[in-house]
Amino acid sequence: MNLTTDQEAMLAGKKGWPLQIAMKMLAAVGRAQDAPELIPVTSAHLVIDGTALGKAGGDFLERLVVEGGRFVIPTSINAIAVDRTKPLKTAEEENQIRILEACEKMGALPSCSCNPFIQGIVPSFGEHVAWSESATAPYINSVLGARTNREGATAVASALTGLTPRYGMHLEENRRPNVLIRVETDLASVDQFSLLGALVGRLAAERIPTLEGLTRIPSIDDYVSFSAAYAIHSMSAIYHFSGITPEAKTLADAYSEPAPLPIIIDDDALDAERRKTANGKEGPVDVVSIGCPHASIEQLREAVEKIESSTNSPEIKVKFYIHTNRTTYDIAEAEGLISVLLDAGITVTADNCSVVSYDKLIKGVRLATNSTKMALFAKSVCNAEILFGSTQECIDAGLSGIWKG
Amino acid sequence: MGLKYKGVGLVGGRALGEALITVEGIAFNLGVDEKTGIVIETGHPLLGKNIAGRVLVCRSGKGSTAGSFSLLQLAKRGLAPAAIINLRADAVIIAGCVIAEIPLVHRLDTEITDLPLGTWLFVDGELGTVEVLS
Repeated sequence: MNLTTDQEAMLAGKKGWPLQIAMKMLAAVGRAQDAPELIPVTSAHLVIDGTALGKAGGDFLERLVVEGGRFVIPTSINAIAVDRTKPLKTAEEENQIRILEACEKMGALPSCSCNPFIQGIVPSFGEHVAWSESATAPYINSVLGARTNREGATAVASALTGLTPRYGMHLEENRRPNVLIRVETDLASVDQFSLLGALVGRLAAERIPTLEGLTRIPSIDDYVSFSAAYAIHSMSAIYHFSGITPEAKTLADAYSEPAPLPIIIDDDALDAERRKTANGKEGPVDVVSIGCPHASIEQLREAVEKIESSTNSPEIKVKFYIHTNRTTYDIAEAEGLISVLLDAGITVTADNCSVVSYDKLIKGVRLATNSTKMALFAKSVCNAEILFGSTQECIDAGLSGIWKG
Repeated sequence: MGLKYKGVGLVGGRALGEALITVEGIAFNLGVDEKTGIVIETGHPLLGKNIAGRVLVCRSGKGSTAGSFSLLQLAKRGLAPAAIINLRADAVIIAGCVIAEIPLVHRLDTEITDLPLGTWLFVDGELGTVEVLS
C-alpha cells in the first residue's frame, strides 16, 4: 500500500504515539486487503461499551488522550453500558464513564446510541465514513448510499487520522448485487422487517441481495430493524431494495448478465422465520424489551397511545423496558410521553440497552420482543424463552402480563 | 532448521509457541472467556481449549466487532495467544493484534492446518514467516 510522506511519518512515530498506533492499524488492514492507498473519511462512529472494552480498553483510550490524541473528524458514540443520568453503582460502571469521558476529551459527541440516524447523525450519499456497530453499516451503505466497511477498533484509528484503507464498501464494484430475492408478502411493521432482515441475511450469506416486490416504501424504523437483523446473519454490509434504495437504480438494476433467478420469500417463509425466532408458547411474561435498535419517537408515541387506550390495570407485573437514546428521550419528555410510560411502570432507559447493560437478564427468562437481534442475544446469553411479535403485541403483554401468542 | 512457510506479515514481533489449530474463525468477544483464555463458544472445535501462549492458527476472526478490545483484555492478563496465523485476517483481528502487540501473519503459501499435535512454531510477524521447530 502506498503511504504519503505524512502518513509514513505517522507510522514511524514522528507525530506521537496515538497517530502511530492508528496508522499501524490502518496500514495493516490495508495490506491485508490489498488496498492501494488510504482515503479521507468524513465521520466515525465508535463502539465503546464497557462490557467489551473492559479496564484494558479504558486504559488504552486514556493513554490516547494523555499522549495528545484528538479526533479530527465528527465522531459519534454507540450505545454504552450505563444510563448516564443514573448513579454509578459499580467499578465496571465507573469504568464505562471513564471510557466515555476519554472519547469526549478527544472530541467525540456523546450520542450513545446504536440508532444515531434518529438523532440527526446522517452521512450523505457518496460520503466515505468509518463506522463500527455492525447494525449501522448496512443502513449507511444501503439506505443512505454513503460508504463504510464494518469497522472495529479501526474506527478509532479513522477518527484519529481522518483516513481509512480503500477497500470493500469503498469500491463501487463491491457494492453490486449478485443475488435476487423476491418478496411476496406484505410487511406491516418493524417486527416483520426484523424477521425479513434475518431471513435475507441468512439466504444471502456473503452475497449482496437485491429485494424486489416490496409493496410500500419502508419507514426509517423499518430500515433500522431490517439492517440490524441483516447484519447479524450476514457478513455483507449492503443490500438493495429495487426501485427504492438510492443505488438500486444505478447498481442493483444493472446486472451485467441477465438477472439471476430470484429466491422467493412468501408468507410461509416469514412464518417459518417467526417460529424459528420464537421458542416460547403463550402464557405469563417475565420481561418485555422494545428498542433494539433504540426506539424512535414514533415508537414511543405508539406505546403511549396503546397504554392510554388499554383497559388493563396500569400496574405492571413484568419488567417492561423501552430502550432509546438521550435525544429521543428528551423529545418524549417535552411531549409528556415519558411520565405516561413511567406511570405505567415501564422502565425507559437512555444511552444503554439490555444487550450492553451490566444489569444481566436472568437465565431462562420469558422475554417478549419485536427485535430478532434482541431475541438472538437473549437466547445466547441467558437461554431465554422468546415471545416474538409486533410492538402492539409486546405492549399488550407488558400491560397484561400474558403473552397471547 | 525445520520447515519454513512464507505469508504476509501484518503485525510485527516474533514469538514461539505450541500450535493450536482450527479451520474455524474465532470470536474473541463472547467466544473466549476473557478471564481464563478458554474457548467457550458452544460447538466450536476448540471448545474448552486455552489459547493463552499458543500460536493460534485459525481462519480469521468472527462475530462482534468488539473482538479487537477483547484481544487487548486477554493480553493485559497474559492470556493472549503468543502469535496468530490466519487464512485471511479481518479488520477486527488485525486491529486487536496491533493494540495488543500480538504478531500476526496471514495467507501462508502452504496450508498448515494438518500439523501434528504438539508442533511448535516460531512466527516472525515482520517478515511474515512461520518456522516449524522439530
